[in-house]
Amino acid sequence: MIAYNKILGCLVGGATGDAMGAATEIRSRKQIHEFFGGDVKKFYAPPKDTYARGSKAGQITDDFSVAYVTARRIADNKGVVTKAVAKKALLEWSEVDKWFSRFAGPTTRANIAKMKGTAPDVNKFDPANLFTPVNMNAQSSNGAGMKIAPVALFSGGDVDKAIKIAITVASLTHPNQIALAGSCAVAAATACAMNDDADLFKVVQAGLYGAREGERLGAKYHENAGASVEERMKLAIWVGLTAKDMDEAIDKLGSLVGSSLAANEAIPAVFGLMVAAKGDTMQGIYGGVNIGDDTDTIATMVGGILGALNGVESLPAKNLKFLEKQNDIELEKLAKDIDKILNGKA
Amino acid sequence: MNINYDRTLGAFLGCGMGDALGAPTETRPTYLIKKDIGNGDYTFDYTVPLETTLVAEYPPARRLGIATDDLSVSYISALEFLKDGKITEEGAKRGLLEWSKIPEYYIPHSGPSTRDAIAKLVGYYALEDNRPYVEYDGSHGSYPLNKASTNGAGMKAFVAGVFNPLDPDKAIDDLIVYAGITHPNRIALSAGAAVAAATAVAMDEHSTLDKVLDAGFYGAKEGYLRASKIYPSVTGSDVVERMKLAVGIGLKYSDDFDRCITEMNDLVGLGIRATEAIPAGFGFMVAAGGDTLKAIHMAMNAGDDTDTVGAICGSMCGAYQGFSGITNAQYHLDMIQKANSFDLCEVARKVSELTTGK
Repeated sequence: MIAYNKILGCLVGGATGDAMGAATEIRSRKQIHEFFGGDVKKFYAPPKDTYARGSKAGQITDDFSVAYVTARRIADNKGVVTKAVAKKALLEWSEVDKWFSRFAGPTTRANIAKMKGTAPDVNKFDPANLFTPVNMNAQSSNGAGMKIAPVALFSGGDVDKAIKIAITVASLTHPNQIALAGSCAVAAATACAMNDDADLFKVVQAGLYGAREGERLGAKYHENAGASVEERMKLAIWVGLTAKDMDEAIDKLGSLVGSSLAANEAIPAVFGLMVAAKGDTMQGIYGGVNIGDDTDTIATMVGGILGALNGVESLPAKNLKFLEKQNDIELEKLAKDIDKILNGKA
Repeated sequence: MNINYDRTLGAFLGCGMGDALGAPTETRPTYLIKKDIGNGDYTFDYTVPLETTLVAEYPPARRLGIATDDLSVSYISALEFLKDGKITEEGAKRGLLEWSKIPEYYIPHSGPSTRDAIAKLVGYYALEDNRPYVEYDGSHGSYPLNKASTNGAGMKAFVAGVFNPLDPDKAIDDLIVYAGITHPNRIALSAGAAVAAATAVAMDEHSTLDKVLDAGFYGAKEGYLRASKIYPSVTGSDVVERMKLAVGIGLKYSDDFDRCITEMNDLVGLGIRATEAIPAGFGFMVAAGGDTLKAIHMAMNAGDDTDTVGAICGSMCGAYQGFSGITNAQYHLDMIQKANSFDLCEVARKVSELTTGK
């Protein structure tokens, strides 16, 4: 039995982190403080010099939107996760202008173009078009992790099943061991968090297990050169555990671990922030929103995992309706459908 | 041999060794380096780059001992600075244009920041259908600037060190002038200044590895502060914090090649980011106790941007040991000079004459 409030918490947490971080993305923490007058703890309309410029307060970006469409289509498929369903959802999402054309990251964009058989528009001058490089190291990015927490709900709390789901879904866009290690870490942590007896300690350990398994299974697709997600997670967890307060943890994680679109920075930062926040959903999300660089992606992953751990009550009550309205999405309906699938009420 | 000349040549040779030994392993992870290049084991000598390496983007460059951008940009820049008798912005620009005329280096190895800088000088992107250069209008905030936090300032930074022996402060200022053309970015210049300052101090015959390392940390901090007076804010992790991590790993595993390169790759990384490659270079210098060839052997097997990390630790260690202290120096010198038609002895002699006033 998986508690409904955990399912909904994962969705609302993920959407909250993405939408709140949309306003701070790209900026350094110092620039966030200069522009907003301190740490950002509410929804702002994104400034005109960020990706999300033109969005309204509370609107999501690529992170949660691709997760939402994917989870929605898996629910429509009675909760069965297949490559075909994931691919269909991805292509459906890629037709939604407000999400795909404005926000899709370089790796996702390149691999969707490949799927559609069209030339990747942004990677025209990629070395890959000139010769066949042994690796595409820049594809070790966080796009495999950003979308996976809501999708991992279909594991029903089974960590190994969540890892399998992550590989199936994320290998479509990010077929390399570093990106998939990041994805499996987030998926495994989310699955663990769904269980009634879950606590932060178990969630973090499940995340480390997920990173290890993701690296092993991902290597079957391709092994890029690059730093290890698991080892950097250990570093980030140590920073989160030993920092004297949240403020110090955010700065130290940003300067030492990093918070860029690289999977081996963003996913470790997620685990460091969750530990520093002592597992508190909103404190963790605020950490992601204010760490700088790829803030929305980090905050959506933190929100997805901790929302599942602590339930929807750990988020401001108004967020659900507000996010549904701003984005024209149905989080409550999706949560109910997942609840039916997981708890046999269908 | 004159001490200053010995150390200047050591720095140029160390850069070239790291570059040419790493060119065949660049972009691969360690396991693939072993599988594809080392016949199942680590690789420690020059090999002809395979068809899937970056070098192969210009096929005639697939030669034993070929250098990439690390040595070629450094060498050609130094030649231009010699004409001016010092490091100048004009010299840096001329060097860049001269370099862009050599297809075997420019075509496969112009990284994103360097390519932008050349396009800015000539007005268009020669390798991209002559797409015109457009000045960034600021509409995406610091995002395009963040992307320039790369290791290209660090790869060529030792030149600012050998032009300013024993004067880390001037080396930092010169580095910002020299590398600011391609990397107008606080993080990239912080990393570059670390290498420049460390090299300047390594030129001292009384130098110790401790002093070189101190100068590196000083350079990273000062480089960031001084670059901040000229160039806008960028977002990214911190060179100093990552250097501390890398030096710690280097100290811990100085007697364990395997674990040193594994942990350096896993935690610090050897990627194109300035906050990975430059700290890793310092880490390997420490792990090797300042031995040029030992440090490069680690870099060339650790994966990812192996040649640049090798050039960074190689140039600092080379200045520290001098040509006379490098293992099999003559073999390496002959190999690199033959494959690249560079006269490293000549450029080192002229730099040394300039800096010592002889």
